[in-house]
Amino acid sequence: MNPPPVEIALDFRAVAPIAISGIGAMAVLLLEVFLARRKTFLFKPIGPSYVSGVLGLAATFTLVAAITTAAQAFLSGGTAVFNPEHPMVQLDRFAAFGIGVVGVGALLAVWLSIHYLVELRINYGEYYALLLLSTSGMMLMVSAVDLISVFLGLEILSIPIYVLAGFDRRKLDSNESAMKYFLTGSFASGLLLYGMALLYGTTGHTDLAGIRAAFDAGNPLTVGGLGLVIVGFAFKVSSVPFHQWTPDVYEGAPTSVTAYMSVTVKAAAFVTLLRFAAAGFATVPENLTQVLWVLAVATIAVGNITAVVQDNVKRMLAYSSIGHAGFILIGFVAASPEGYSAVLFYLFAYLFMNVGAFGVIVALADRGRDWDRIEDYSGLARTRPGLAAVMTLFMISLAGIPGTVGFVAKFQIFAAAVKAGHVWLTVIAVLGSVISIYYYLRVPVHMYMREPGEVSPRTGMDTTEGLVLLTCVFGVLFFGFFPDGIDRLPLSALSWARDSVALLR
Amino acid sequence: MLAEYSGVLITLVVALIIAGALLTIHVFVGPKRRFQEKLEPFECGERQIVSPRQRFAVKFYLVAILFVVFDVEALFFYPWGALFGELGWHGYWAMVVFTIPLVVGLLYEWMKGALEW
Repeated sequence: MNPPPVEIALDFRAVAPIAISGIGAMAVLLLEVFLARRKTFLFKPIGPSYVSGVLGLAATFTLVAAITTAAQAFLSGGTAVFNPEHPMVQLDRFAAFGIGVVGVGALLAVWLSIHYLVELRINYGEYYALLLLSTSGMMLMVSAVDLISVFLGLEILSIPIYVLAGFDRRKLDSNESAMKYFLTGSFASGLLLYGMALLYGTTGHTDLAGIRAAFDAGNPLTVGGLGLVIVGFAFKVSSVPFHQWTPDVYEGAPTSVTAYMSVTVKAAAFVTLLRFAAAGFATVPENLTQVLWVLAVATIAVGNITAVVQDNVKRMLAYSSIGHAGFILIGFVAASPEGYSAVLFYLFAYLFMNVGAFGVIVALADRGRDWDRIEDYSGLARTRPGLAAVMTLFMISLAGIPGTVGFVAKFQIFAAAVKAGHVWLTVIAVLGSVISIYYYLRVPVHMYMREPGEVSPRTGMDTTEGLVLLTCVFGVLFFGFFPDGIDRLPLSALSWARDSVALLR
Repeated sequence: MLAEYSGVLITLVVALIIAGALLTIHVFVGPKRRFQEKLEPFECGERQIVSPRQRFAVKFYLVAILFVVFDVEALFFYPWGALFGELGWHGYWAMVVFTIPLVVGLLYEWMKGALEW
C-alpha cells in the first residue's frame, strides 16, 4: 500500500564546515549557560572574566575545525554536492576559498573579542554563539548553488549580526547601529527576494545552473531580477547608493563586531555575487555592465571623498570600506577570469589589513570605551611605539603602497580592468586611491608628528590581541612581498584565487 | 506574455470594487449617532494619549516569541507525522536535525530563566 521509503544518498562532506560552525554555536550557547550561572560548580574556579576566554577558546576550536575541513576540500580539489539529485549546497574550491576567508575573519574577530568584551563590560557568552551562527550562515551562502540556500544563508548571517551590532546595549550608539542595520538590512533582503522571485518566475529554475541555462537576456523581467539581486548584495557590501547605513552601523557597533562584519559580510556577499555573475553575466547585455560601471565609480568617489572629512577613525574606516567595495566592483565590470580572481584576492587582502586596523582600535580600548577619535591618536608613537608602527603599516596597506598586500590586490584589479578595456574606470579608481592616501596617512601624521594629548591609559596588550595583530602584520607583509608564496612557505594566495575561479567557467 | 497575468488584473479590479462598495454603501445606508467616544480613532479599548516611554513587562514579548517558535515546530511535525512511513529513516534523521537546535534553544531559555514568570 505505502510507497517505498525515500532513499537519498547525502554527501555530508559538502556541509561539514557549515555544520561544524552551527554545532559549535549551539555548544557555546549551552556552555555559556552552564558557565555563567553563578550557582553552577564550574563558575567558581574560573570567574566571570574568564568566561569570555573559555568560550572564546571553544569558538576558536570550532572555527579551526571548520577552516581545516574547508582547506582539505580545497587541496583535494574535488566538488562535493550535498544532495546530488537536487543540488543546493556544493563545496568546491570556490566555496572553500570563501569559507577560508570568512572563517579566518571570524577567528581573528573571536581573538579580538576575548579581552575587549571584558574591557567594555559586555562579557556575555551569547556573543560567541551569535558570531559562530552568523559565520555558519556565511559559509552556507558561499557554498550555495540555489536561490533558496543563498537566501537562507543570507538570513542566517544577517540576523545574528543585527544583534551583535547592538551588543553594547547600554550605549545609545550601539542601539542605533543595530536598529539601522536591521531596518536597512531587512529592506535589502526584501529587494533580493523580489529579484530572486523574478529570476525564478522567468527562468523556471531556482538552481543557478538552471538559471544560467535558461537565462534570456532579452527578457526585461529576467534582467530586472538580476538587477534586483545585485541591489540586494550592493546593500550588504555597502556600495553607493546603498551605503547610507554603513558609517553609523560601523561606528556604533562594538569595534570587534565592526572588524568582523566589515570583512566577512563583504567577503561572503561578493563571493556569492561572483556565483551569480558566472550564472547570468555571461549572457548579459552591455547595459548591465554599465550599471556596474556606474556603481563602481560612484562607490569609489563617494567612499573616498567622504572619508577625507571624518574625525573618527572608525567612521573613516567605514567610509574607506565603502571605497574598497568600489575597487572590488571593478573586478565585476572587467567580467573576466582575471577580474574574478582579483576580486577573491582583494577580499583575502582586505581581511588582513582591515581586521588589523580595527585590531589596533580594540587594543586601545580602555575603561568601557573606544579611543577612536583622530585626536586620541596624537603622539601615540611616543606612548605606544609598537602599536603606532603597526597601525601605520595597516594604513599604508589600505592606501595601496607597494610592499604591502593592499598594493598587490589593487594592482590585480586594475590590471584586469585595463586588460578588459576599461581604461577610464581604472583612471578614476587610481584617482580615488590617491585621495585615499590623504586620509589614511592622517592617522600616522597624528601619531608621529603631534604632541601627545589625552591618550588611552591602556598600557598592556592582551595576548590574543597581540596574536591578531601579529597575524595581520604577517599577512600584510608576506602576501605583499610574496603573493604567490615562497618555496619554504607555499602560501600562494594568488594561485588559490585563480584555481577557485577556474571552476566558475 | 502579459496576457497570462490578466487573472491578477481581474482579481485586483474585483477586489477594488468590493472594498470600495463596502466602504461607500454604509455611508448612505447606516444610521448615524455621533458622540465623543465613537469619534475617536479605534484603538482596541486603549487610551490614545499616553506617554510613549512607559515601561511594560518584557515577558509578554518573550512568551510571544517562545509561542511562535514552538507553534511553528508543531506546524512542521504534523505533516511529517502523516507521511512518516513514506519518509523512512531519511525523514526521521532530518526531523532529528530539525529538533535538536530547538531543544538547545529550549534548554538555553530554561536555564536563563525565561520560563519563570
